[in-house]
Amino acid sequence: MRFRAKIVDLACLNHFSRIINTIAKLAKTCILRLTVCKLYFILSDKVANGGASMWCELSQGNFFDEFQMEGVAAEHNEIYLELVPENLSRALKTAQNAKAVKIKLTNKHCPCLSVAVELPSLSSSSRIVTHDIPVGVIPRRMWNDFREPSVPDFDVSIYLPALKTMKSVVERMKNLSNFIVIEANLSGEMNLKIETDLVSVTTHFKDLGNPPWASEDGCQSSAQGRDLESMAEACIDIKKLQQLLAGQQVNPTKALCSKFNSSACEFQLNIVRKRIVHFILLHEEVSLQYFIPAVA
Amino acid sequence: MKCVIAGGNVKVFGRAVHSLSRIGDELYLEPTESGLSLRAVNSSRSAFASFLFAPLFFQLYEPGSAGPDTELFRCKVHMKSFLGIFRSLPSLEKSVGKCLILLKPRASRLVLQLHCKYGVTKTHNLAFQECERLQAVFDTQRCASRLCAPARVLAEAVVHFPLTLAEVTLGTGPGGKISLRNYVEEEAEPSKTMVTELWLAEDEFQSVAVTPGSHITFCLKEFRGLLSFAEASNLPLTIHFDEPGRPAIFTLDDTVLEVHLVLATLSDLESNSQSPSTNG
Repeated sequence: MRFRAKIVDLACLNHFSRIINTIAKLAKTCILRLTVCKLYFILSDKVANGGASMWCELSQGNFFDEFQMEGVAAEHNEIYLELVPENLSRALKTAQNAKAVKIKLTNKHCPCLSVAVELPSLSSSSRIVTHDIPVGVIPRRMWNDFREPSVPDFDVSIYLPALKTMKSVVERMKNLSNFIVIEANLSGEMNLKIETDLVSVTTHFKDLGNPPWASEDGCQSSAQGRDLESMAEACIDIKKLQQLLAGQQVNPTKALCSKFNSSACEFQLNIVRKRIVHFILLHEEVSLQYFIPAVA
Repeated sequence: MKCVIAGGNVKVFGRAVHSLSRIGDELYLEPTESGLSLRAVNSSRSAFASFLFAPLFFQLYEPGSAGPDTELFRCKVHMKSFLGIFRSLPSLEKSVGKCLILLKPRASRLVLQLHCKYGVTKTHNLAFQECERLQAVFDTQRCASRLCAPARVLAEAVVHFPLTLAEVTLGTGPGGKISLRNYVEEEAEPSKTMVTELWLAEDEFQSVAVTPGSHITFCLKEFRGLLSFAEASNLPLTIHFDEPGRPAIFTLDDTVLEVHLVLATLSDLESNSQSPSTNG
């Protein structure tokens, strides 16, 4: 098993750091899956995580100048590592003006991801900072636990409003209640509701737009027959929603300023009535899916 | 004792108080013929700091007269009360023109008077306690190793370590390089702790005179207080150290100011029993 990668471009490093920061806000521990073309950050829906799960996918070519990987075996050319993303986030935090950042899988006192940051200095040689992040190697027999979650049959699919607005609304609601109801319909309307013995608060969003349904033969007709005004709702743990919104460091407006001049950055919400809420953040270089189960 | 601090020096004095507040809960004031000394020690007696302001630092300096049988008056005050007067450094810079410090032993009061803009005068009367001389035992001459670097280099080095990190190990490596590494305690699980190590080249320092292979482990939190003072004053910082277990001495020198920070270091006995008994 071997892994070495290098980032030289500052914009790529900055973008990669922001993604890691987002992951660190969502999961204390997660799985890093490495393949020849992609990196995945996975949180499986165990009870320990409160049932929430996450799937984040990046194309390595968009971030790394060098990327070499040799998996556990030729037919299984992948590596699964368990790590604390906060450690990786810390290592990259002070690397923002680095000349180069190298990441390598090493075996020091235990398996580690070693991040070596080469920093500019006034002296003849660069300053080198190394961070040895302990990781756990996941054996092949457990890889099935971390498969990509299947996309359930959704009742409603809607684009989210400006994250900044949503974040400030949810933060204030968090002070009043532990649970929040998200509901949306196919007419571009979404409501965030909390209800306690003393007070109930609802915030209404309009004109949000609904993503087009994936045209599968069976689905298409049922979508057309659906009542456009009827709301699909799910009640979820407000902290999970707040963590997701707090971790987003993307520009809230649709046009994203990035080296790749990507156009819209879509942030989409799918609701399965009373069962689960599914957030999808789609971007040219990275996609992030976060599932929050509904509480009874 | 009576002294007056004027202009930009008020902020420098305030910064010194901030630095000392990172060490201990009590501020010791000792006027001497060679200047006013401010000192602090921590509760476990493992950190001691002193700032000696020469008479030239002040617009006016009268240490008071020692009688034939009495020494110059010494006292200590609550750090919080003293720090409160210099709490906001930006507002010190903006509005305070002069600071008067008056020690009235017979009235049992230490008076601090800030003369501010627009004719405003703020007078603080602090209670004090008489005390013995606070002095740490150290001698930089007896230290085998010495490093001197611009404060900025050390500040940039320390930024890679989390603010909560308690202890850091300074070591010397091959090629004259100097390393800083977070110290992992005995009780911590090695497979769960992230290790950060930074290497600085010899030419980043103003002078390096070290015993090869030497290392010391000291408290980073207490060092940060001095480092921010050094960085703000743009003064080079000298580190004098010896074997593990013997104190490390950090000094700053200026024409009107002499600063010492003495920190206990972990002795090799402790660090040897910590060296990983790798059970695989």
